[in-house]
Amino acid sequence: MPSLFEDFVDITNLKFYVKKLEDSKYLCFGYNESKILDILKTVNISLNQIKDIYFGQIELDSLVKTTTQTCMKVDNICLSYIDDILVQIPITLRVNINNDLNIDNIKLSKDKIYINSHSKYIEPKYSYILSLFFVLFSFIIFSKTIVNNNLAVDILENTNKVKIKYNMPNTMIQTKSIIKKLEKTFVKQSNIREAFYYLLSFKKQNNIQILDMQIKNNSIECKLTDTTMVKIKQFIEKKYKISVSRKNDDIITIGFKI
Amino acid sequence: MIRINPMLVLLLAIVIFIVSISSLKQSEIELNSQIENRSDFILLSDKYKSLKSTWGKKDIQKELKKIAKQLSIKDIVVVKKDKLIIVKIKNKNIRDIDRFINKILNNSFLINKLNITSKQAIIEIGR
Repeated sequence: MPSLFEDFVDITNLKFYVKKLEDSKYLCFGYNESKILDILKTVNISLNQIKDIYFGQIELDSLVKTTTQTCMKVDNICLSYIDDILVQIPITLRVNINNDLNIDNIKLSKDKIYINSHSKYIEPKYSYILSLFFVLFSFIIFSKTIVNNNLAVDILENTNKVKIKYNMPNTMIQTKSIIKKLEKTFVKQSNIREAFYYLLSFKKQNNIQILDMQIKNNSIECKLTDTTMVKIKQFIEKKYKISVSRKNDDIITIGFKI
Repeated sequence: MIRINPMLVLLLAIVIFIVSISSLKQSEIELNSQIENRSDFILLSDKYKSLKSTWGKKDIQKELKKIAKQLSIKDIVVVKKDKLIIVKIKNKNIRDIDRFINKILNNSFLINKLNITSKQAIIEIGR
């Protein structure tokens, strides 16, 4: 659209607003934002105080068409429509000046522009769309965060339930310490049984008599007959370290660490 | 009317987005750590349960009497002493003592001391 007017006006720094009047008939406005801002500055009005900016040509058109006036006095300026275009009539030419128009009574159209003084890179409309996009994504992400947090809480609750069910201590350190202790017990008890059955296997193989057997702490001591010291020593030394070995008459006493 | 700067709105939305991303990351780290801890905990709790159920028997006396009853052994004395249970079994038949000891050793009793002669057996069981 701007290129259409290149030959007639300098379109540098101009922004355009187009209103469709009827099929194949459009009304195009070119405006300079910086000029509008300058004017606002000179009349000491901040842009923040302005909601929207409308085109007088569009807004006053309806008023003029419903009245017979040829010239309207708006804020001491004489305005009139000539060939459907709103123009300011020089003071010397003012004729048939009507009463002052009450601007507050004007029903504003939808044709308005927005002066973007914030960023020259992004239009406010796109800023809002992007913001909405970010907020929407944030909402989705927050939902996922809540789901994650709930899952974490569920896991923690489940863990606590298991702790109560198995009568486990509160901390993992305590649990590990108890497990370590129980494992030690398991190893010790297994060793006792293993040593016991090892000795019994000798009894079975050689048909000896065990008169007395003592398992105490980490050692086994037993008194046996019907075998030789060499035989029993050889057998035990295959697996264990002998701590005691003596012979009284036919009774052999042998002890070993387990 | 005060118009909000759209760039500020965008900036705020971006900040919210960044905060949400960071909170998601944080929650994921926490969740992963919980899942990791959970799998460790399951292994540990299974081990704990198994070890406790094996070596953490509470009613040893009842268990001993049950074994004696199964083997029809009458001369059994069970004495409770502090944290120990002392079992004395006297029997003329050495086979009975062997069978009883065998049952005890096959069971998960914490044997502290074991003294076997041809006529009697004294077993000290920890609790």
